[in-house]
Amino acid sequence: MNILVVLRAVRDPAGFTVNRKAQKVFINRERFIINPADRNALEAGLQVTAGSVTAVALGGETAGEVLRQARAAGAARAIWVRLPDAAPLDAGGATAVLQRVIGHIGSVDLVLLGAEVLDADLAQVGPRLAAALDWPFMEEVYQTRALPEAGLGLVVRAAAGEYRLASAGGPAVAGVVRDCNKPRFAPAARIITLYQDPRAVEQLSLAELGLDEPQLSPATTIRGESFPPERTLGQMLAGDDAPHELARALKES
Amino acid sequence: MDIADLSALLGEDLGAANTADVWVALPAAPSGGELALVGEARRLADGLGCYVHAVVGDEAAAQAAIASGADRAHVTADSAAFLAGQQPEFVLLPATHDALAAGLAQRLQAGLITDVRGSLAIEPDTRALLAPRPVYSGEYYLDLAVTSAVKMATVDTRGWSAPAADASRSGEVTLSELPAPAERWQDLGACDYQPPAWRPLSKARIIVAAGRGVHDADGLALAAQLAQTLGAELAGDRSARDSDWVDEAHEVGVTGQEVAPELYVAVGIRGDTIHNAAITGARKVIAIHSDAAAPIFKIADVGVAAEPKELLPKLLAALK
Amino acid sequence: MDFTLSPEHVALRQMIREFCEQELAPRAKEVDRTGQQDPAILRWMGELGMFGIPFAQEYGGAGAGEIGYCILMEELDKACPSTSTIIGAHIGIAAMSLYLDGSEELKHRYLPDLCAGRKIGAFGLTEPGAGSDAAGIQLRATLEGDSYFLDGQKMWITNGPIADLVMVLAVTDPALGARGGATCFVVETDWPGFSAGKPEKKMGLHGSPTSLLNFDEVRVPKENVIGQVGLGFVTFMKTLDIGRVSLGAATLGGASAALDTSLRWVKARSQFGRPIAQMQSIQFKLADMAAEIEALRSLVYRTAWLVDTGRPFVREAGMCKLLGSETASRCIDRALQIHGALGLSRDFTLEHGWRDARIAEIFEGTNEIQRIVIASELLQEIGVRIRP
Repeated sequence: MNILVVLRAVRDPAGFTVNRKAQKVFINRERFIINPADRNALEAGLQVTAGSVTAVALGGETAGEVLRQARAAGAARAIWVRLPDAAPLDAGGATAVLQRVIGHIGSVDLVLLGAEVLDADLAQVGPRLAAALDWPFMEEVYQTRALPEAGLGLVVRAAAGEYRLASAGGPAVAGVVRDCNKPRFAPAARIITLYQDPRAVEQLSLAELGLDEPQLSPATTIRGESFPPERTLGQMLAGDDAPHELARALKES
Repeated sequence: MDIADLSALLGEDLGAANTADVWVALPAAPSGGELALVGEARRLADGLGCYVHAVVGDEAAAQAAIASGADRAHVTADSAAFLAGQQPEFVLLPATHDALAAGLAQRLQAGLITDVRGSLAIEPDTRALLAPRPVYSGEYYLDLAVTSAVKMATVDTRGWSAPAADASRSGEVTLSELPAPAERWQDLGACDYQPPAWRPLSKARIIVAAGRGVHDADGLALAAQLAQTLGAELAGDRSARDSDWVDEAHEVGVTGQEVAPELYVAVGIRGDTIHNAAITGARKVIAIHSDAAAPIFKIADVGVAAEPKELLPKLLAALK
Repeated sequence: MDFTLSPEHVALRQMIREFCEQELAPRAKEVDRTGQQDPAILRWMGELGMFGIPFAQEYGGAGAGEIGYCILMEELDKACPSTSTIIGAHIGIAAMSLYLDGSEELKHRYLPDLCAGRKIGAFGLTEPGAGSDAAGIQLRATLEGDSYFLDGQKMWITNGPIADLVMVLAVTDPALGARGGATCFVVETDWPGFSAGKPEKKMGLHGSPTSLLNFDEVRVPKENVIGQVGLGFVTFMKTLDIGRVSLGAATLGGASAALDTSLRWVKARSQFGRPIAQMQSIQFKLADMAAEIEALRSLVYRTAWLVDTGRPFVREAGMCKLLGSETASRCIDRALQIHGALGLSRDFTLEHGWRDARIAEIFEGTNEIQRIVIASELLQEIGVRIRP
């Protein structure tokens, strides 16, 4: 069973503060982490004992770094599609690259991604990739489970709030819910060995995948950043309407 | 003069769907907020001088969509396949249908902005679709622009109120023969998955914390009910721990757990340093306490000076 | 000079820090309160390689060297000093003595289990009558055929109650005494005649069990000699020298945890109408803590680099232990003062940190001994040999 896990490096939220008054993001400590839900996706993939996990990431140095972390945690293989930081791909571009990566790998039975992406509008890559491959997509998966007669079941949440097992009967793409599992730690010896091995992570260029940058020119671009209104502390509600206004304040959050 | 007259005058069928239209796809039995999305589409369409089409699952929704501002409503069992066969320029969906929207975007080779919170706009010269999109769970927003031929967005309609239905509006309702999309997933039955339980407060996005101000087990039960309604984790301050209402894993304070939820609701908590120092990471704080001079109100975004046991039942009713 | 850590060491620190923050720190108060470690946590740490971080991978270690070991000790001590003490004794002196001077056969026999945490090690040097005067040890090892029979007692032995293996120094030639007549042995604690006393009730480090070790004619095969017969004192002194570096790293962790805790508090706590961070008396304490910690950090990691690059390090190691233990005590005490009454609350982590830190000025060679070691090295350079 070949599982492909798509990882993304995001800026660590503990390392920056948003100053709403200055309308600016202040970076206190430049640090990148694996997008949290992607770590859960990696863990879900690694839990398939009869499976082999390949991790893939698209981007600059930070992408290479998260792939080394994935290998240290237990991924059998890591593929780094090196891209310049200055020209980020949008969801459509990322989908096109991943489709080629799957072709390059040859045999993939399941693609796992984090169901939420902290820093960009890229959670849509999962369903896009599924549509491109004409594979079924499952939006929010909590766990992978081996099925008695081969194949993999995915644990999903039913409308009633209970958990049920679903199976695609073939290759599929799934989004893994953040915090659905406890990502494993990488054993120390593996960290030391893998980080000293220059071949621990394979690099692929767009050209090797048969793509060039104009083909991937984005349909969606980032024009800028905007900020929520400044927090005004100490606003008090009173009177008969207070419960309703409070209910609205709660629902809006 | 209506569309038919104008069409006859100009010799072209102005009622035919064309690439300049705004399309809205709605789920079955759309909520008030989701119908309000039709109103948003209406606003955009009026700016462009084009039509609003609603794609819905049944006739009742079709009528509701027209009453909310659609010019045409299309009833279909497979909205994605239906839209793929049209030539929409703008397509809006509610954010609850991100996955459907993304699959459709891929088929239409469209750029898509998901989970828009705030106003959509269309740039005059380029006709680019502009929208703000939250990142880091709403810490700030990316201002995104879609410039492909087909432009899509899903919109977070939570908190939107239902539009005023204009029964005088009329519009064509078409019925599509498309079958419902095939189910590609097989259900294998219920299973015993449990989410990981270690240190629940550290992962909680919403926390309702109770303090001495709830007075007793009844007050605590009301706080628990609020937690359940909001899908929140129930916690307590140091006093709550002293009273054995919560264990140490659910005690909010420097002597217990530090928390950083998106929403923190303090019920009956006065707000001393030991407590307040542990919630500095909360994005939004709401406080209910009987004493208007309680320090908690200085660090809360919204506060109500009221007896929790009196306010909570009213609040729970308002939340229904 | 390149002061950056290698990528593997950065990644190692990240893993260990996350583990400590997630799993050890939340349990530290409970460990202090009950004196019990969770065996599942220790087993987990073993699986992650934390019981053999510095040792070569051929023996089952992680191959992270002394720098990697200092990283481990720093992060562990920030989270739970009791746990860091267990590991520190296990890796830093017990397994280390075997690693430094054991034969290949002996190392391959015992190190894999020690590195995986399947067996816990203890270092038996101190006796009721021999503390700083380590040469005054009296545990006898008498050769009969191909076995030695060990008889006597060791005292204040960290990991004593939980050890599977004890690296012990015993006198093999009473005429020569410890210097020239002592030998190191690996003793398996389930051998007849060995018993550990009850865990000592101590001021701090409640989760780090310490006890007497009783040897009643324990039969130890001669294959279990570490290094050479008669040269055991040298082995043990070498082991203690290198153990001081990682102990310095542990004290660095304790001190910086106290600073981090203080920084969070001074921002949140207001008195006289403003956060106490605005008061100079507080600012001066914080600045002193930060400067001392930074100096200690540079000293510890440079000394670890000296070890890893095969350079002389004995004097610097003594300095790590001396400065580290006194820095940690001072910083934690300042932090206690900054927190006021809260600092004394047993529901707050600072209180047990204050009790846990005191031992560092005493064990692994008291600070008085460290001063002698450092002075001895200094004076040797100008041709003066001091008589201890």
